[in-house]
Amino acid sequence: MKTKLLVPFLLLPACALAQTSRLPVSLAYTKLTACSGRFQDAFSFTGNQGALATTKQFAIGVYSERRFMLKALTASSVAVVLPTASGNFGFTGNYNGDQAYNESSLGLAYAKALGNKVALGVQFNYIGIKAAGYGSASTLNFDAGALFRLSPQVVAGLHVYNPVGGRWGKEGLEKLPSVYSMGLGYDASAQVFVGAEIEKVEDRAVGLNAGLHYQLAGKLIARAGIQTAASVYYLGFGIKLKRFRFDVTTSLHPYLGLTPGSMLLYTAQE
Amino acid sequence: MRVLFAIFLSIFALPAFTQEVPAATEQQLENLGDENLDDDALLQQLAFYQKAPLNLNTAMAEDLYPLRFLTELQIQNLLRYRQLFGKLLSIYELQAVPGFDLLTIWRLLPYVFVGEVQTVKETFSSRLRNGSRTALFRISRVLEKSKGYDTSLKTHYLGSPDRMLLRYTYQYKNLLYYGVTGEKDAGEPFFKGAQRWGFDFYSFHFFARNLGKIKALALGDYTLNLGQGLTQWQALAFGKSADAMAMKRQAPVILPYRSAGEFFFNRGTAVTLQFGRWQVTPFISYKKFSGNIAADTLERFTSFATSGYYRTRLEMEDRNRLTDFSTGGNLSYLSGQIKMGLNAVNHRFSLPLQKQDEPYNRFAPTGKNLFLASFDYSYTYKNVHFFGELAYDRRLHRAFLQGALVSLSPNADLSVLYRNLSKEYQAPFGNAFTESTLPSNEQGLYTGLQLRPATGWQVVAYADLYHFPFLKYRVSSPTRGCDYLIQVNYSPDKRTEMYLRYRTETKPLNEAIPGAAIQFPVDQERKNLRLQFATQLTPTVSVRGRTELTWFAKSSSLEEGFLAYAEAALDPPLKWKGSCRLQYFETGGYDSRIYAYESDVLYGFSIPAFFDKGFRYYVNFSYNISKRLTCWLRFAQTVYQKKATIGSGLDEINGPRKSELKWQVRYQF
Repeated sequence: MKTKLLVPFLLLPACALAQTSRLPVSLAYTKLTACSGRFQDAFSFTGNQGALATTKQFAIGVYSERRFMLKALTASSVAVVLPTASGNFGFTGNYNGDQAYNESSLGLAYAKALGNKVALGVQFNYIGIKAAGYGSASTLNFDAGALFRLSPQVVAGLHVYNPVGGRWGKEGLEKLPSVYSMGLGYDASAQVFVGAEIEKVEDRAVGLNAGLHYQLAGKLIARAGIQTAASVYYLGFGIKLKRFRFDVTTSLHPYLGLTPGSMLLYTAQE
Repeated sequence: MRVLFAIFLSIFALPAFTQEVPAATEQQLENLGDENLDDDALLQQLAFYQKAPLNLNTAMAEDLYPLRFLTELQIQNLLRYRQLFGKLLSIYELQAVPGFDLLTIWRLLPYVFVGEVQTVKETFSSRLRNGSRTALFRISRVLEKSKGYDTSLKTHYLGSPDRMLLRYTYQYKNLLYYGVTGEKDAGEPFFKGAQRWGFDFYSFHFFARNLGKIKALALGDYTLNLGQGLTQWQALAFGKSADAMAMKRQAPVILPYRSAGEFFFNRGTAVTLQFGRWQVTPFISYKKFSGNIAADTLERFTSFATSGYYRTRLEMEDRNRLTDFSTGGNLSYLSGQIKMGLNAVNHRFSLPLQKQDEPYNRFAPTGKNLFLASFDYSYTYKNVHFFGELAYDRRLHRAFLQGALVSLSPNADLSVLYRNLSKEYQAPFGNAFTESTLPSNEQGLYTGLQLRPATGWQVVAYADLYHFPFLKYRVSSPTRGCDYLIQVNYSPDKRTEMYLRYRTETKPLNEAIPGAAIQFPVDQERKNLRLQFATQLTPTVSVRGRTELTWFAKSSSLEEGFLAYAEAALDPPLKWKGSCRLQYFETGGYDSRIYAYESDVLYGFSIPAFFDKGFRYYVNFSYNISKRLTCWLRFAQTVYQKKATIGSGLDEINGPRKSELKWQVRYQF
């Protein structure tokens, strides 16, 4: 068993996370709780597909943001988690931009827990871009993630996005970047989760994404964090109403300004 | 009961000649970098607590502030715990107080004890008689002769190369202090020339606390500490460090000044009066100071001289030719969880201040008068402690600081500080939690996190993103910077502590391109990785070691630095103690310099910067001649490889070695 655990370590040099350029800037907000045992929601698996395996209920979430307050840079995402007896399925969809230029993606994920300490997941994506007057292009790629429960409170995660493939165009000259990341999540208490990951986007400097999820008394939650690659802070507050949770988020880029966003989550009964 | 008292004292009180500073405080002192460290108030207070530990059952907030590693939340929780549950029965009962983990308790051990609450009426006459008196004399000298002592040169140092300190202090608990200090820097004359009264710097202080309605009274030299430091703060204050929760300035408004630094204090009188929930502190100060005096179109001074060096004829010409008359006050309201204060301070200089006419000095303070006022507050709501300060100058230019300390869970703390200091706001005597030295021209958001995942483990991290909206010295445009730190501490037991720290700092500075028409700032990135451990092998022998790597990147150049040391300290149950360190360092140049905190004689500071390549070693030795008389001897030497001269200007030494010999004697009675 121990040698089998070593294999993912050897195969994946580091971990990967989704790119910061093409997907919503505050994606860090939605994927923060990938390595959490307690605070997972519909979007957690977008950070690491292994998180899909540990969710037990049907969940759906929608997220939308207006990047740098520009209408032309509106970004929306949807995520669905579908648990079944033989592993869990997930579905994501993203749409960024407007008529003039947009990028969209559809992803189908599958994850399975191996015992109660390891979870593996993989996701296949179809990515399309469209520029008015230039036509459109599409490609297929995949990403994969693994979660390891090191202790009842600590989870380690490895993730790689688009290690091979993801090329556009006839000659495949342009490529989506590969992203490798390694993360650690710590459930400090029943109310606090701290997550951090080191993320390496191809041809960019290494960055650290760290965040805190805090369950305030009652129905409020607060989430804040930082992405050091671009020196971006993000902050959001959410309110829980029965099965739903509604979050208002914002992120601050030092040069480009604020990105307001909102998120709606639904988690079915156990 | 007295037997128990004595047992507590013997177990927890270390002999007063150990200068053990907690690792976090060491780092904070190292981070002060090139600033001249003359203010040993912190060391004096820690040494005092080591000799006469603080009773946790009677300690008030002001008594706990010198223990810098305790945060405001921890102090408040302790006071509230005592209020609710009565006195502590054992020091380990601290674990029941929210925010106190085993690591904090181990750090506290040398300075505190838990004892009976003795309500002794402290009459003034008993305070005058029952305190401890200390006479201290220290002399040190760099053995190699530097260029400044070559009398054949036109500009040379007029005095001997000895650096001397003579201090007499009287202290009765935290209630009464008085004493005199005399200090002479290397190169300053002694009983000659401008220093015909002996030392170059003299200081007298008298300070009393809790005399009925008079909560504090200062006569002579004292420090003034207002709000969060946006207007005036003269006590020793730290910036960002591995103690991510220590971002709040906390000290009483007035404190006695017992150090040898020649600039950061007030000279006059101040008193804090208490009327129920109100405290009012008027103060007055009339002080001579030195500055660069220019007398061309207008007689003025262009900068404050804070170093206190009066060694050459030129330095002595400008010595203490300016006066600063300062008045003002603080009005505070304290009630339960809320504390509010109004501060006002006015300075009047004998000559107007007018800085050099450079673009970055466009908003520099000018004129004979400087007036600043601020409102500060702190408020604790459940598990969050809010604090902030809003300051204005005469023309209503604003500086604003707002912070919060959150106790998220028993094992997680969060700190947040937002500052927005406008470029027009100028406070030359301020000292706030900012990236720049002075609280001006800065906007930034600092967040810190401290986790205690398991017994003995601590993970600390901070992120600070800041922006300078206007030019600065050697920065020719508005710029941004970011600092990050992560440190993991592990202390398996009371005797051992180790940590691994990674820190990165990105800050722009003008690129020195010779002959360039336009200077523009370029990002400079400094990365630092350090591993340190310290352990007490036996009650007599303790060792510590450190390895540090730094990387300095600018445009396309990369400079690397390395430093490693091993130190051993012997503390046998005899009359003597000793310690020695062996260190090797190798850096690419001055930019990749590394600071290392060194053990020194009692109350002494030694935090040199190491760059280029060489060895350093030092030996400390202390001997208890009698119960009251102790002497210390320290010899330190840095041996550079492949260097013909060390230093620059008048401090240049021929040869690759620089040695320093220091001798100190203390008589307590």
